[in-house]
Amino acid sequence: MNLTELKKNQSAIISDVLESDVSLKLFEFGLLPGAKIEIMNKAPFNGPIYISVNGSLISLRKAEAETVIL
Amino acid sequence: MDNNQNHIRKIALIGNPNLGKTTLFNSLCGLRQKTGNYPGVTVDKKKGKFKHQGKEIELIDLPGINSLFPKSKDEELVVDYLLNTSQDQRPEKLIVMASAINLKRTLYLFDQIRDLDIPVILVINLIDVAKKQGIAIDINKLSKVFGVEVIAISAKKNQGIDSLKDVLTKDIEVIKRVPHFAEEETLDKLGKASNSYKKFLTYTNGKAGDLTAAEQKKWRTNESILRYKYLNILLEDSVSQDKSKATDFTTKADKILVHPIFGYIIFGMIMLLIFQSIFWLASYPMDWIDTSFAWLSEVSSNALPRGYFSDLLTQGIIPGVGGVVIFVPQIAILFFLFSILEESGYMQRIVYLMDRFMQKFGMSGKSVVPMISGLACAIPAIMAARTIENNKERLITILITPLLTCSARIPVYVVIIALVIPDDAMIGIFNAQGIALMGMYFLGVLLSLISALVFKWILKTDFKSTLVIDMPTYLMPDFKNVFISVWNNSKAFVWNAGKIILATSIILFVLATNGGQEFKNAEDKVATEFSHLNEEEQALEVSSIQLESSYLGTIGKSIEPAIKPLGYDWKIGISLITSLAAREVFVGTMSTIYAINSEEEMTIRDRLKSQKKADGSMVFGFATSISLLLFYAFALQCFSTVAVTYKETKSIKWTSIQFLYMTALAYFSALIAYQLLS
Repeated sequence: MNLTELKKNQSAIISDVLESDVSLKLFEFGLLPGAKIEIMNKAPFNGPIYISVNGSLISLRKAEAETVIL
Repeated sequence: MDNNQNHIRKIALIGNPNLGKTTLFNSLCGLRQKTGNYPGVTVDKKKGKFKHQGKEIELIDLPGINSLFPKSKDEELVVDYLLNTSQDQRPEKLIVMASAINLKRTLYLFDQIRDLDIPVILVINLIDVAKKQGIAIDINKLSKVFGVEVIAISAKKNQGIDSLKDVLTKDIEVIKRVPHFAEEETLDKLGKASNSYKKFLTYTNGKAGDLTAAEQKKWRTNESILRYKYLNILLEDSVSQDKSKATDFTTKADKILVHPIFGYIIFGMIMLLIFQSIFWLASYPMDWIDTSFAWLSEVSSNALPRGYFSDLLTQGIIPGVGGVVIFVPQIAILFFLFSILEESGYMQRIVYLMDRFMQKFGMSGKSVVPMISGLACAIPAIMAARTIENNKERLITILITPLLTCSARIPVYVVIIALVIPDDAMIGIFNAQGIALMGMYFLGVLLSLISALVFKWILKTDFKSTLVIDMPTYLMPDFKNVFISVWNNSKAFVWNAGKIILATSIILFVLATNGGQEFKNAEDKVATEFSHLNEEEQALEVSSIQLESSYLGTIGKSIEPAIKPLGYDWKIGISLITSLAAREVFVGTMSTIYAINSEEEMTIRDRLKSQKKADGSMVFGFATSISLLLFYAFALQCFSTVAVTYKETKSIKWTSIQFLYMTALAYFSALIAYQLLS
């Protein structure tokens, strides 16, 4: 499953980040395989997803969240 | 190494965005700083100075970046500055800032910079907040492992600043460390280099070597995995957290502040608060400034001996300068509120909340920040668009930002609205003038969104738009920062706009009080043709003929055919020409032009109201006023904006498109409005 399928307040461990234009940036923000991720909030109308990873608070768009495999 | 006491030590401050770099900068330099943020100044860095133990230090505050692989324009500028600055311009050392409450993420950039083998000092900010959350950091251990000085500070509470200052004046010896950013195999491929990480950066940028795009990416990906692995192990035994103490205010606050319904209601209320402050709070000091300048004109005209210079001062310069000073309360209030939004961390929540909506218009959530700043002034707003990674989204944001109601339009709106709507008119419980002013704001927002849609449809792009942003921990705004920001921005505004306005007022006055043959013969003409009038009426007739036949009048008259369909006479035409430089000149010009014609000192508004056409109807009637409002809402009358757009886009094409589309929008909407209403 990918990050978008996770519901608010649920958490999971990242197993993989798919190759994409944004994958490098996701790595730099600490979204690496093995990191624990929690959904803090989801903006309405398929807007960005607000997550917590390694104690950092980050938000990213749905398209980007789809590349994060749990 | 350095025996010269007068030598200035150049030190640059770098780190991720929103860590409190500005707070540290302000606490070190105070008001001894200047921002090169306005056109005409080529550097975009903030510089400040301070002295410690008799040594002069120049501090450069660089925009926040997340890594040495730039993704947006502002990141590019910083990385370029770090890697490619010539020897004499290069900072002697770097202060890299990390955050005690988000150490791993913020040490990532430090870890990269460490490999450049330049003298660095690691500063860990927010140590006080971390302590409250039960986070303990082994500073000595970090210092030993990284091989650099590490100083824990609280920039806001002034903790650790003195030990930082001590370190800043010391010489630093760079100790090379064993690279962990790449595997053995990659390092072998890089071969021998004085600095293998610099070489790595040029290889992965495609500036050297023969890596394919896929390989470049692979190298970079490995770099971030390896660095995080390294940091994970390091922080495992140098940071501990007492979970029982962790009070997570941010998580709790965000349950409401980014709530799918309440989040937007709160955002709307904050916007409303900003408008209220501009309309009502600022109106008191503005009235006071307006009357003071009228009074100043009167006093100086009575005190000075009659003559050309006295006229220039009381009818040209004083009303002109008054036209600038009058915006200061609004500018100050706007920047005060913006910097609170920025400082508290709320600005990033706005990006989050608005991203989906802005994407519909070909922009990103990040476009909201420039758009909101555009309510104060388009110049910093256009520069703020640098944080937008995607070129198309950035370009659209730059193109439409000047349509938003900047504070320079406010005085024009206020004056014209007051001509159409009486002071005491009410709509329900609201002041009708206030509602009209708010309507002008909505009109600006509406047109900017419509234009964005059009540009979205026209512009094609190959780049995929992305958004990955930090949601900073909420922090109490540091009021020292807020006040310094208000001070700097107001000062820059008065200085920049003031120069233009002062110059235009003088030129205008000279052009209005000199002219060709007809101008010179005015007195004789009146004496012969209007001999039946009394002396006072004759004097009035002379000055009116003189204004009309002056150089200024001639210019105004020559463009009259083009603006007559919009409902403007040649006097308004002169104001249109002068406000090409800056909109706010309008009010000053109008008051200069009409002051030349009158003996009494009045406020700008009363003076405009008293203007009558030949048939006795008001010059500023309903149709003309509406037409003028629309013209000023849409026309790009601001040289500084044109200059900054060019500077930011580096494209004559887009700079011209912006100017032309806005001018066309202004002309035709004013034309249609006047023709329908008159």
